[in-house]
This record gives sequence, C-alpha cells and structure tokens, in this order.
Amino acid sequence: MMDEAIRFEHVSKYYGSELVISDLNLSIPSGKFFALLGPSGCGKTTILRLIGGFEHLTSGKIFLEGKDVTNVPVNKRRTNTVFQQYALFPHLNVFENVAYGLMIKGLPKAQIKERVLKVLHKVHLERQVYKSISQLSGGQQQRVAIARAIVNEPKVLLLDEPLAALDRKLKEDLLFELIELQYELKTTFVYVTHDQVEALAVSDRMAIMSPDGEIEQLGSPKEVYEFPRTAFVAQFVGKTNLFKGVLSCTETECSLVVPGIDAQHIFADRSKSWVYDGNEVLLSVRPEKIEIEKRELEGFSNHLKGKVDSIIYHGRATEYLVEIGNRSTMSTPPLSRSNLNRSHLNRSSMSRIVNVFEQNEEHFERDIIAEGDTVNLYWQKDNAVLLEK
Amino acid sequence: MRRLRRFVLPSFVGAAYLFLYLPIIVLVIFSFNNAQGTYNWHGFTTKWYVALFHSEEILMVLKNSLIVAFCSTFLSLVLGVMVVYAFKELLDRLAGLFYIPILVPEIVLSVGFLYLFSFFNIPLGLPTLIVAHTLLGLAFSVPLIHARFSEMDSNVIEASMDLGASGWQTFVRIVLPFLTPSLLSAGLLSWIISFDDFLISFFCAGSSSQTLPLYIYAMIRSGVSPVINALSTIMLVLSCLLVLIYSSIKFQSKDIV
Amino acid sequence: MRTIKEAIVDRIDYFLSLPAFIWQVLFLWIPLTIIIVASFYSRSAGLTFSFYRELFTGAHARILMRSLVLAFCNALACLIVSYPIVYFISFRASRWKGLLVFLLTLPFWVNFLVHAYSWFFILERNGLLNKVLLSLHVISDPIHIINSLKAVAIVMFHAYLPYMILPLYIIFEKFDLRLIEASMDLGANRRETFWRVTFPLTLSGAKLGFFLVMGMSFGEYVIPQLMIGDKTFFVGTLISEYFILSRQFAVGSAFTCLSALVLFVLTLFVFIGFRALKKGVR
Repeated sequence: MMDEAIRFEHVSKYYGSELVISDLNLSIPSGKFFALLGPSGCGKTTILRLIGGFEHLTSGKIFLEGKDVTNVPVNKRRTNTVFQQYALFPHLNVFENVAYGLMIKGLPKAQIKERVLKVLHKVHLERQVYKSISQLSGGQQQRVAIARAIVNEPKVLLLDEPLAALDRKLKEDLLFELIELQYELKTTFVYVTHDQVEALAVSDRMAIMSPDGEIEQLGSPKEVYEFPRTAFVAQFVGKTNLFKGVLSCTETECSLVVPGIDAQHIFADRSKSWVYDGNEVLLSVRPEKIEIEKRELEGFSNHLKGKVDSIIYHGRATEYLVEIGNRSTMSTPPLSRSNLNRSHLNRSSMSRIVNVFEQNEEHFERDIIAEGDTVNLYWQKDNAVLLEK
Repeated sequence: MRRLRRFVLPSFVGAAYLFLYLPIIVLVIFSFNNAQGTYNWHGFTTKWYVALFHSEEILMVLKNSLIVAFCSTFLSLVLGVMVVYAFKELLDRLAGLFYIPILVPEIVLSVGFLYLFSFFNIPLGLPTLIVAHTLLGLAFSVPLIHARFSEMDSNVIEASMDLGASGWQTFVRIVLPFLTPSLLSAGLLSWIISFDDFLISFFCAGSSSQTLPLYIYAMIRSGVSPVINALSTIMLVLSCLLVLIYSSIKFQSKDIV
Repeated sequence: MRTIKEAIVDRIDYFLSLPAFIWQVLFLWIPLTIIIVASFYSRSAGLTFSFYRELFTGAHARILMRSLVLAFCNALACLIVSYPIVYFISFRASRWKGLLVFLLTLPFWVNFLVHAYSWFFILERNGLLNKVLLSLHVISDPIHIINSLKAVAIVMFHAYLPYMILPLYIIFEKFDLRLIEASMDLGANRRETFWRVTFPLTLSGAKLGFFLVMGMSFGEYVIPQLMIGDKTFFVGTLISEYFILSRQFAVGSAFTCLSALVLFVLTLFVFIGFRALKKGVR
C-alpha cells in the first residue's frame, strides 16, 4: 500500500534479557508528519532505531513502503535520521556534511553542489555554507543535521528528539520550520519526543506510548487531546482534572457520583462495555474547559463551589488551584503549592484541588479573583470525557 | 622579606631548567671546539660539522635508525588502530594490558628478545629490531588512540552509515580523520623511542646492522670526539624546527576556523 | 549458508584486533616465559634450582640493594623537585606556559647517550664544574666526580627528571581550577586548600611518575656503565655482563627473574606507601 510508509508486524525486541518492545503492530501513514510521544524509557527511540536499521529486531517484520526491510542494513535503507545531538562530522564543514550522503552515492560534483545549496537555502543556512561546525550555534547545527538528512530525499525522515537540546524560543522557531518543511517536501516524518507540546504542534497523527512500551492511543492531535482513551493519555498529554466516582445510570442517562461532591452531570457513551450502572470510572475535565467566576451563573450542567488556594501567572493565561469539598476523592491531584504545604496531613483527609485555566483576554480584569476567594466552577457535560478506570 | 617570597618558586623553576639544559648548552658549545679528546676550549671551528657530512659511516647508521623508526612506528600505528577500532568495549578494560612493555624494565625485555630470536634461530638484524620496537610502540599507540576514540560521539558513526556509507568508507572518511591527533602524538612518541633506543638495539641488532645510538655509544667509549656534538646539535636544531612547524600548523588551522 | 567472507565480516572485530594481540603474545609473553623457564632449566643440567643458588652471595645482594636504593631515591628526588616545577607551570605561569612546556619536551629530542656523554664535559677533572669552582676559590683541588656513585646519581637524576614532570603535568592540566575556588569559598586558606584538595587529586600523577622513574632507574644500564663502569655493578650492568660478556645465560636469566621479583616487591611497598599517604592526608 503506497499510503502506508512504515508497517511493524508483530515486532518484538529484547535488549539482552529485557523485553523492550513486545508484539508491536504499528502503521505509519505516508506523506504525513507522525509523532511518537512517550515518557523517557518507554521504547520510542528504540522503535525509531528499528526503522532506521540501527537495531535488529528479535522477531517480527518491518515494511518500508510495502517492502520487507527487516534484514536490510542501515546504509542501504531509504531512511535518514536526524540525531538528537546532531552527530555532525566535526572535521567537515557545513557543505561537506550535507553533501556526504550524495558523495557516497557517487553523484557528479555539479549535481551535488546544486542540491546541497538548494537544501541549505531551505533551512535558511545560505550564508553559512563553508563554515566549520564548531562555529555554528546549536540551532544552526540542528539545521545542518536536518539538511544533511533531507538532501538525500529519503522515503522516511526519522527525527530523534531533535529539539531537546535547544532553548525555548529556538525550539518554537524550529518547530514551525519543521512543520513548513514537511508540508513542502511531502516526505513522511517520524518524530520522536517526550514533549507533548511539540508533538501536538507538529503532527498530523500521533501515537502515545505508556512507560511499559504499549501504544495507548493513536490518532490526530485533536482526537488525542480532546478524547483521551486512558487516564495516562489524559494526564500525559496536557493537564487534566480527574474525578473518580461511581456511575449511576438510568435507562437513558448516567451521572457520576463523586464522594464529597454533588452528583456530576456527564456525557456517557452507553455503547462502551464499561459504561454501566455501579461501575467505578474516571471523569476527565481539562482545566481550560472550566469557567471560574465569583458570581453565580446559569446554563452550565456542572457546578462546584470552592476556595482559591493558589494562583500561578503564565502570561497569556492564569492558572487557579481551587480547593473543593473536604473529603477524599481519587486520582492523584495535580501538583500544587498547597499540596506540598499540607503533605503532613493524612492522605484521606486531603482536600481536592481543581486546576483551572483562564485566558487573560482582557487587559484590565473587571472581576479580579484573589487567593482565598470563594469561587464557582462551571463546565458543560459535553466538555468532559469519561475514562475507564 | 615578604615580597621576596614571590620569587622563590620562579627562581627554583628557573634553576631547574638551567640544570636540565646545562649538558645541552655545553654540548652545543663544544661542538665548535677546535680540539679533540679534551675538555678544554681551544678555539672556534666548524670543521666537525663538515666532517659529519663526509662520514659515510654516520650516514649509514642514520639510515638504519630512520628505517627502523619509521617501520616500527607505522606498524604500531596500524596495529594499534585496528585493535582500537575493532575492540572498543573490550579495550575499556584491557587497554592496560598493552601498557606492560613499559612497566617491564627495558633490560628484561631486551634479554627476552635475545632469547626469542636465538631460540627460533632468527638472525639478528634490522627486522628483529623493527619487531621489538613495534612492541614498545604499541604500548603507547593503543592507550593513546583508545583514549581519543572513546571521545568520539558514537552517533557520528551511525550517522555516516545512515547516509549510505559502508563500514570501510565510514572508517576512512570519518573515524580516521577524527583519530588523527592521537595518531600524530602516538606516532611521534613511538618514533622518538625507536630512534633513541639503545638498550634493545644493543641486544637485538646484531653485529651487521648498527643504529645511531649504538654508533654513538661506540664513539663515546673510544674517546671524545666533537663529531658527536655536531651530530647532536644538528638533531636538536632539526627537532626544534619540527616542533615549531607543527605548532604553527596547529595555530594556522585554528585561524581558519 | 554463509560464505567465509560473510563470516569474516561478521566477526571483523576479532580479525582486526588479532595482529596486535598476536604481536603481544609472540614478542612479549613468550620471551618473558622463556626467561623464566631458562632460569630453571638448561640443556646440560636439566631442571634445577642451581642457577638461583649461585645468586645467594653477598655480592649479588649488595648489587640488588644498590639498585633498589638508587631507583627509589632517584624517583623520590625527581618527585620532590618536579612537583613545584609542575605546580608553577600549571598554575602560575600563564604567559610562559607554552614556552615552558615546549622547553620541557626539547631535551627528549637529544639522545640520552649524548646527554650522559655531555655530563663528562661538566663533571670531569678539567670539566666545567671544577673550572667554575676553582675560579671562585670554593675549592683548591679539582674534585673527583666522574667514575663514582655521585656521578651516577647526578646523571640519573638529570635523565629521569622529564619522565616525572610529564605525567605530573598531564594530571595537573586535568585539574579543575574551580575546585580551588570552591575550597576557598568554603573557608579554607591557601595552605589547607593545597593539602586537602590539590595534593590528593594530583597524587595519581605523582604515583604514575614515581613508578615510571623507579622502574626504569632500577634496570638502567647505560648511565652506570658510562659513569662508573665495571668498578661497581648495578642490576643493569650485571645482566648485560651475564648475557653479552660471560655468556652465562642460565644464571643471567635467574638473576633477571630475581631482579624483576625484587622490583615488584619494592613497587608493592611503594604502592602501599602511597595508599597510606592518601589516607593520612585525609
């Protein structure tokens, strides 16, 4: 199938006696920006290296555009890798680094020069062509690494946490450039990272890996963010508030009974097998979906009252940590300053902290919320997601 | 008195350097001495330098020493690189093994070589000397090259293969250039040690082939001749030039950067 | 079915490293083994300890002792003198450092035979030293240094000084100066910082240099031969005597083994000494 760039079939990989990848079946679509997101040590880099050919798999098969490449050595695979620490050749200058792959193939000099200069133009390095590597900044070096890979027109471009070593501002700039690049080249990009901000921003499609190497969810960034399938995905990709409770269902609808709080109005997909009366489930409500107001409002399906515990200013948004109820609830509360202060208290009597994000849309706030204020939290039932426990 | 304290250390170091260079200075001065077999000064002359260039004997032993030095250096570098490239992980633990020839007193090594060659009835000569010196050279080349190789980012080798280069191409285009500094220092060290070596040559060179140190030794025992001084002075000047050229090359390449 | 070529390429690391290892085995281990074997066995006498028994004489013991003392003292003297020199070059001589290091390496280019020979010009009856001392009226008669133990000691010291300086220098260069800053930041004065921080951390270089100089001095042949000849024997000159002159290979091998053993024991003692020193400084 030409619209499938990579396919893993029952791939397993042992490192010595440790099983790192277990019976992995994965299909990566062609021509799209694919991100592999997961915490450190989950095996995502291993998957990338298996595609590139740097590691041999223990069992299973890997297909590149339909062809079985399981036993094809690194230097014969039509993939190229952008390494995390760039791995540029220190004794060659920028031009020579980028030209390396073409030179190995034995292309005529004129053609090499043309292609290299074109690619360097694409990554905005036209004025650094003959500089030595040591003279370049981190961001420039990363661009050389990218240029060196794409000049060979690989079928798949593999990127191993390429922005990890860069500072915030540079990261954002390069992120945008990568998106543009992929759009222009139409090459399949496989991007490995532990930073969910990066993954959400760049990818057309992403896979989330759990710490033990399983793919928890596969989908578009929006799908993954708005409709997480598991608690891990909900908490790893972005921040969320999780409420643990018991389903109370009638014929037509369900509600969530959360100890210490009024019953929550929820949207429940009855077609799911685990949605039935009496089952313990989790409710995920993203902080930005919650309205925080001092006054009372009408028209929201869910309402909680609480006291503002702390406020964290993020520039374009403000984060509120609101204490609600006073009895034990469930899933690990999001980290907050007050949590740290009250760690001496017994867990079961720890109060519930809810995260709320508000965009700072107005220059001058009319109704300023301060620490200690009593507030109302509102959200609509469509904006929350039920998760299996 | 306090202020004088600052000068204690520098004066000490200065005195030490003077002590170190005293024989060399004397050597150079007496290479121009117009007399032979005596330690008194009899006037300035350059005739010993002239005699040097006309001496066939000296040129021959010089040639021998150069052959042995270059061959053994070449061998120890080649073998050293092979070992280091092939066995990187194992060498992290075993590199010390190659140090042993330095730890064993040279005289024991010399005796050992003598035995080995006579045991297998190998005639003593330049080849046996080359073999022995290569062993010494390995003691330096393996640890030095290994240390440099360990500094290499292993991703770079993978990057090269990722871009289509075979193992051999990667080695020649990427690894070897990276190792060059260590090859130079190991090579230089091995070269000097071989060129300068007396003891092993004494035992293993045989009667047919003489190296420079052996020749100098014979000359010393037979009497003081300023030709030795002249020869040594020339070598000193040559090595000075070599080092200056080398460091200016290093500085030049930094300028380009 | 894999071809032979494939099999070789697969395990290319073993094949590549083989020559170097073979070299080591052939030209290091076998010769050493031969020496040891030859000390116990000869074609005429068979397997015997007799060669070793011949070594149990006062003369032999004195020779071994002499070489031990020479080796140890030489190394000690070199260490004591080198340490301040390296300290100065590394820490104090910012502008002159390059020049000083260059000057250190230059003597290596002059054959050490020539060095030793040059000392004749200085130490001889009519040599430089005597001329200077006489003209300054420090002494009235020329002093005899050549052909004595003093000459051996001086020339040995001179010859091996660079071998102590270089390892020390390498370690000093690796020393992180920020550690000194940290120590002073925590309240230690200069002297305390030196003994508690600088000294312990540079000890490894001192150890390396010490063993290097001691080992090489122990088996030294040329300098004793030139400076004192057959008057007094050292380990190096005696071994050479056995093998080159009197051709007593078996006894010679036995003596070689014995000397190596003695050196090893001394090295062990020094090693323990360094350990104690490290603990003491703590």
